[in-house]
Amino acid sequence: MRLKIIIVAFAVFGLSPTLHAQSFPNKPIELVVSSSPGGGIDLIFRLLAEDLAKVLKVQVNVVNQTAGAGAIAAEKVAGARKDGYTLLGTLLGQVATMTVANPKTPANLVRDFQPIAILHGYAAVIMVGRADSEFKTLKDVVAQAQKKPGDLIVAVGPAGTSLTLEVELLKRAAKIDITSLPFAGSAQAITNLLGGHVNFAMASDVAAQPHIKAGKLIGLAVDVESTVLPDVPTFAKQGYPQVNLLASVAFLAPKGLPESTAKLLGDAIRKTMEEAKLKENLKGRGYNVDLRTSAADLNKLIKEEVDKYSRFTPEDLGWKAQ
Amino acid sequence: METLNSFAQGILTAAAPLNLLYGFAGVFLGTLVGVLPGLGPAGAIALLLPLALHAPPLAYLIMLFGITYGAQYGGSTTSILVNIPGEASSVITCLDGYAMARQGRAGPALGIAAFGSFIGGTVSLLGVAFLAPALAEFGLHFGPPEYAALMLFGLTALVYLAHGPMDKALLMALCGSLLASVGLDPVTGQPRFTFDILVLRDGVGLTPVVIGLFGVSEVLVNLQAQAGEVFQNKIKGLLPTLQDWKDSILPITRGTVLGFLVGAIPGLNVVIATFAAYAVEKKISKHPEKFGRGAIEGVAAPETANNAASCSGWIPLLSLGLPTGSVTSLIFGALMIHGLAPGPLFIKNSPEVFWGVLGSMVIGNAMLLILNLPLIGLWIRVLQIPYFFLFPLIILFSIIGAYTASGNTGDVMIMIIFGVVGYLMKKFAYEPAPMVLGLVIGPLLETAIRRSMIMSKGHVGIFFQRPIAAFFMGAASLMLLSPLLTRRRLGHEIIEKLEEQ
Repeated sequence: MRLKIIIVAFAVFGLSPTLHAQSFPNKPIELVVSSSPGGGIDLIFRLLAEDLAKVLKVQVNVVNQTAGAGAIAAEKVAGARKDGYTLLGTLLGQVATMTVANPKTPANLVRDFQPIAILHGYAAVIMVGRADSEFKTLKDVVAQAQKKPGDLIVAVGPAGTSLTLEVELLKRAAKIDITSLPFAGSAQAITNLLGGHVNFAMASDVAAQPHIKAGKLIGLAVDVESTVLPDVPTFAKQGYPQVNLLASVAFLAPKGLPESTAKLLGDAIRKTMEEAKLKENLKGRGYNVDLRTSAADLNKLIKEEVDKYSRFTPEDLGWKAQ
Repeated sequence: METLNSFAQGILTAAAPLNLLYGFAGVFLGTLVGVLPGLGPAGAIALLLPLALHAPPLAYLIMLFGITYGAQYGGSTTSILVNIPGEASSVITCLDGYAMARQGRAGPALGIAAFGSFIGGTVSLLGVAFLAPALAEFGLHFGPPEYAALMLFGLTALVYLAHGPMDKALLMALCGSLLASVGLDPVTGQPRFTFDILVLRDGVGLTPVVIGLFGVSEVLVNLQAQAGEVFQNKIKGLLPTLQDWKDSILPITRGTVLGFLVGAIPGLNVVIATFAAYAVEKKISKHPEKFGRGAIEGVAAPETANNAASCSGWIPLLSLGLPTGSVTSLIFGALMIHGLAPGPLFIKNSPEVFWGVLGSMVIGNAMLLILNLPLIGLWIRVLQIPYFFLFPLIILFSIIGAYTASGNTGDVMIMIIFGVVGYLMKKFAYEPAPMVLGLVIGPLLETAIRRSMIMSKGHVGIFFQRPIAAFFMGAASLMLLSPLLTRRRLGHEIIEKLEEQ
């Protein structure tokens, strides 16, 4: 009797997904992107979606849903049918911060999502200073901050982003105090650094690169080796391995997706990425193309991501404590 | 001389058939998204980004730029015809443009908006060509304290936006600033006044509020009025008359200069240029009482200023590589795809792109004028559509507009709520324009003051020690005190008149 149940159960839960997988995909896939249209992250997904459609031979429609700092998009996909036709394209940290701030959220990264593919450390965050200032290295900055706590001002990004949190990590690791001045993003931070209103700025390497090339700014440290600024040393190499909130972008599906469908999607994304044209394009735009698709690797990565953000309070992350 | 040569070369490049074609597609699309409320140039450009890999680089860029300034032409159309701003930068045009339409003068209003846009855009382009690098460096001097002082100065413009009682206008501006504080705190990132509603984390958006306050409320008010009373005036003329031109030529000149300067400062948006241009005209006008009741200056100046500002708005991006808003960030992305990273060396390294785009904008502005003038005849027929047909259409477009701006049903709710709020405001004679000003300036002022306070560790002196900040603080005080002086002068005049009698 018990054997019979197992066999039936196997037939229902084990076999039917394979049948589905054979026919998957046979209708358009919706890719919900939690970043605003036209931004760096959105562009990755749009470029990938276009080529992915050719590999999968169905349409891949990008839908931007930015409301609630990505929470609405995450909740939509977490609650969608587990058939692979609804995917989330997001900055992994965005879902990780929600998870840390409120583990009971309807979109818990570990509990509710099945990672399909992760572009690990897709872009570097760089700490830049002015070329005409006395601070030429990270060491100079730390020394001055120890001498005069809180005196130096660094332009950072909005609360909860790696532009801001990595400064917090540096302060903790080096036991120093620097005043963080939040701006809307890399471009504004750099503008204020160029104008001499702040001492340093945290920015994406791509945004900082033209100013470094023009000799106006200098790179002090990056969180992951940069493809466009290979000469700038990482925080880890300069003695602060704790500053490591690598930004990753991810394709996530609702948890419970048949394994074969997940693998099929993961393989298709890998195949898309391998294509020389796209790869070169992303690299040229300063993106790392370290793509992870193996299930064990992915599950480890999302757990690590949640751990990384667990070092912060919900307030640090821009969410109210629940 | 070298600049002139490069400029001429740029126009020639832009006149190549392929570039002309893409340019036309761009300005046409731009006019279209400008006319449709809610759908703005940012949305249209985002949709076209994937095309970047397949299209020829320069032609593609010409098209994207075309969308941005084309939208400024289209934005005024619905403001004038149905009191719904097609873009936030045409909010102020509603005041006098719609009043003109109701007097049967929609044609001249649309005409002067198109001519003003053309003049503002073209002259501003020349400014970009000759002054870009110098102005860009100047813009960098604006840090948080300078913005704070500039915004305070901007708020004093409020005095000239209201044509009703001042206390009501101030109250509305305050409400606008309060509304602007909904959402994530810009400094600490903590949610404020969100009541745990996810949609409110992003704040109360400008687009749904504006569509609700102006468009939806207008429909509600008109529904109450007897049908047939709405546009009872016959349509008088399609184009501005000689008198209209006489009245408008100085406002257009001033709007151009003002728009150009405001646009060149990174972080100030086009909306502020239009409010400022309107305020200036009303301040120096000999008949300020006509403003808000169909003064053509009230259409000419802001519509010129928004085009001038949208042109000079490219200065920080093209000469320093600093995107200042969503549209400029998108173009930054598009340039990146082609490996043309904009930065301090951009003009030197890619002159053909810089001058080609500038040249295309000269041609594009001319195309837009030719495109828009014949359309006037078509547009004003919209006003002859029976009301029972027109009103549902306006509501439909309002809903679509509020939705497409963010793809969020929450914004449609916000729009409907503000439609009702706007209706009540009209009934009790409160004006919506000061509220929009509060909504636009409020967040800029707040972040600027708080950032300044962080920089100075709490010392207020930071606003008076830095020269540019001190200048605007002085200007703001002057604006606030000047009515006292004029009142005294007026008082003397009245006494003199009485004595004469």
